[in-house]
Amino acid sequence: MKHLLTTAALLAIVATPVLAQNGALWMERANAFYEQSAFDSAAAYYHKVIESGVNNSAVYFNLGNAYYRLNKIGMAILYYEKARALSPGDPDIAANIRFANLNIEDRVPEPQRGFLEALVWRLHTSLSLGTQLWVLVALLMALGILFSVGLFASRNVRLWFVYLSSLLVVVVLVVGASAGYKIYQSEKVTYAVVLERTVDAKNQPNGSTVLFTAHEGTKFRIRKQLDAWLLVSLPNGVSGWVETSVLGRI
Amino acid sequence: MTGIMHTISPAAFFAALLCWATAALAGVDVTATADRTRVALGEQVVVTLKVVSDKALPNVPAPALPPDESYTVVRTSRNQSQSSSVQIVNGKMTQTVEITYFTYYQLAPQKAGTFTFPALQLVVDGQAYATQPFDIVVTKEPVENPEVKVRILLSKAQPYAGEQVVLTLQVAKKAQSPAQLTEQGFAECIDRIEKSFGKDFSVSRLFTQFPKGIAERIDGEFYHVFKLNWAVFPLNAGAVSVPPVSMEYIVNMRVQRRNVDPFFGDFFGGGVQQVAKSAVSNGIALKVRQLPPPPADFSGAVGKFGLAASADPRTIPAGEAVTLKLALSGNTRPGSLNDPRMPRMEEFEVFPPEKQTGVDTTAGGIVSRKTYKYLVIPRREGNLPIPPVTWTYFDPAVQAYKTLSTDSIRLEVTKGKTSPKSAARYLTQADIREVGRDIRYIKTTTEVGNQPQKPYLNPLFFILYPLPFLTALFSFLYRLQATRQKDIVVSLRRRALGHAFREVQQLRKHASAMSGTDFLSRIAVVIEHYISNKFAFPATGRTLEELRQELSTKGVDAQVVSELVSFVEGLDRYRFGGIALDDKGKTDALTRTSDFIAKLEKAYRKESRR
Repeated sequence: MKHLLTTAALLAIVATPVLAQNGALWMERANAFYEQSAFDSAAAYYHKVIESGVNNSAVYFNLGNAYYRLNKIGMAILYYEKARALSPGDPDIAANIRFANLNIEDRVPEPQRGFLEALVWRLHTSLSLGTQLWVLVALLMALGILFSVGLFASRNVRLWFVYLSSLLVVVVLVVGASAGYKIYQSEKVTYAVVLERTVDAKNQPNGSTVLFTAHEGTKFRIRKQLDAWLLVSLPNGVSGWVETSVLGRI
Repeated sequence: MTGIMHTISPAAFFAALLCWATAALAGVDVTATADRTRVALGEQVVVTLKVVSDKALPNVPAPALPPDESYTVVRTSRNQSQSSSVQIVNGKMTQTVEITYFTYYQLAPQKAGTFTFPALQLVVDGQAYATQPFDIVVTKEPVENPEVKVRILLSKAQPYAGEQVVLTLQVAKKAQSPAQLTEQGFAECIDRIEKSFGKDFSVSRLFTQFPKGIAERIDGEFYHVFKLNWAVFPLNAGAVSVPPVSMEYIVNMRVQRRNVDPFFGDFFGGGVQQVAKSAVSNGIALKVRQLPPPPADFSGAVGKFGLAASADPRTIPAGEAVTLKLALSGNTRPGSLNDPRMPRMEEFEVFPPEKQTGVDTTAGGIVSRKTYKYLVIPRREGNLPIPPVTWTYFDPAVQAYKTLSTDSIRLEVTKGKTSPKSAARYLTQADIREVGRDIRYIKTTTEVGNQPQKPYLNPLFFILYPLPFLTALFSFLYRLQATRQKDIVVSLRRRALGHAFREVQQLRKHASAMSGTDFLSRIAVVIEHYISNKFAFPATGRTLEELRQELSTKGVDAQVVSELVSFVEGLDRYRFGGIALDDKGKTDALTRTSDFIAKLEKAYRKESRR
């Protein structure tokens, strides 16, 4: 057992750079195919990068582009959304998602936000969760140091430490709440994109009544799963049951 | 007769006979009658107990009805009337007077079937009387009411969900009938109808005031007919039954007033007794049909609709506004008229519309209208078409979905005064800004590191997050400990003098019993303790030179330090030189010790003040 664990650990250490190396190689080839407008081949190699265990927004973004060129708008939006999940502040990804959404048939209006709400939302989405967590660590460290130094400072200097610490506490709470919301979303909220030309949302799994028809590229929120059926909903609250096979999970 | 004689005992027969004979002799007649003996469940029946006498009777009783599950007594009321007649036969005038005492029992039957109204027994003028019992039949079905007929009618028995149906309440009152329809009766009936439709329907009144009667001939007789209409929209598919509703009205029953004038009494007299009655309508059954599977662009509206579009002006310079007007109307509720979806108009800047909603209410139903005024600005010159606008609804008449489409409108757009740059300020919609562009190019990097899907599960965070808290906790504990230590030093310093004097006092008590060496050692200890406590450094075990340096650094006067060192040297000489010390010498040593301690205290205070 001990030998087995040791071997596995060694393999992991050796394999990681090998996989990364393969990933870089395939990425290079995929980009070359894309430049030659061989989008089918490019997509195949981007898939190889992903299958090698690489989870990177650039790969997803490029794969989305390849699918867009292949006129597979549903797949394109799916991979753009996957890229955005990893790098929410990337302007290229946001631009391509906006552009791709112009080409889908269903126009689901985005929620209208006031100035303040829009500003908060922009701040919330500007950083990736990973970056935000590192920022939080740095802020907490600074707060800990300020507190420690402030304990031994003279009374006048300590007052300044209190002001600064209070400000930091507010920033920590805001960044922490934002990160907490992102973690909640990551754990609890799942989205999917329609990959077929049209999808009929039914009143129940295997139901006969069609509640609405959605088209390729439309993004749903997944509410529930029952065997091979998903209860999905649109931002305007309309919901229905759709077969799992016609959707791509983000 | 023989049968009756068999069933009734002889004693009872003779008692009844006696009762009748006595009553006949006394000139009193007692009867009980109902206004009708066949009623529908929900209607009411009025039983009248009549006591007729040729003279005024004191205390005519109103017997209470025995409790019965078949009916409830809604109300009991009383009245009386008097009539007189004059007869002249062969020149001889005779006058007869008749006084009638009424008691009305207003009954509400509680279940269908036949119940017997009991014989009422009462004692009038010292004599016992009894009325005849009789049966009243209560039916579940409405009983034809000759005075007032209530009907509920629907324009369609099998509508589709969302389709408008007109409901009519028809109340017919027989002409010259004493029945009187009241506003309260109508209001309560309207309320019952609206409540009976429940949450599965949307019901809107098609009237604003109570109706006026129209004369109509029904079954060969004249009636005044009152009609009220509602627009009813079934919201869900399925079978629904609406139960019958009742309507109350009153009947004016004429009773004669006590009148002494034998000739004009009937012309001028007579009071009116108002008796409440009710009529029950028919029930109705509806089968609401479900719509067939809708197309993707179904607006949700069911009925008959129209859509028209117009633009003004048709010729315009680029960059200036045209008003595109859409008019949508149909027989549904305003809320069901969903906005038509505008087609993509890449050649135009389209601003959100100004909406106007109107409703026409007639006895035939509701017609809703919506008007949309879009401000449309052509981006360039040319012959630009505004594409057709479509809107899909369900038409119950043909049982199919229909799509309305406006005609394409062509605009003649001339060269505008504004430059293309200034026209760009109208570009406010996000989806229009992107038109004509392409997706952004791929990321050419080949450095594809792994970005974790769930970065919060990184073990490093579990180590790093507690660190600031631990640092803060450690600092706090350290600070707490330092404060406590400081408190001990201060406490010892404050009590150093008193402690030293107490020790000197103790030594003074036991000096004679101690050997010289022990005595001097204890004096050295007292001085060391005092210095340690007062100056917060361990004086024990230090050489005199170290002691001198330490006290000098603490700021003690050099003279005092030198004297202290000389004194301690003297003590050491006595201690280690084997010189005997008598009691006087001990007392002197203690006195000098006290003096030195006092001097050190003074030097410390002087220094601390500085």
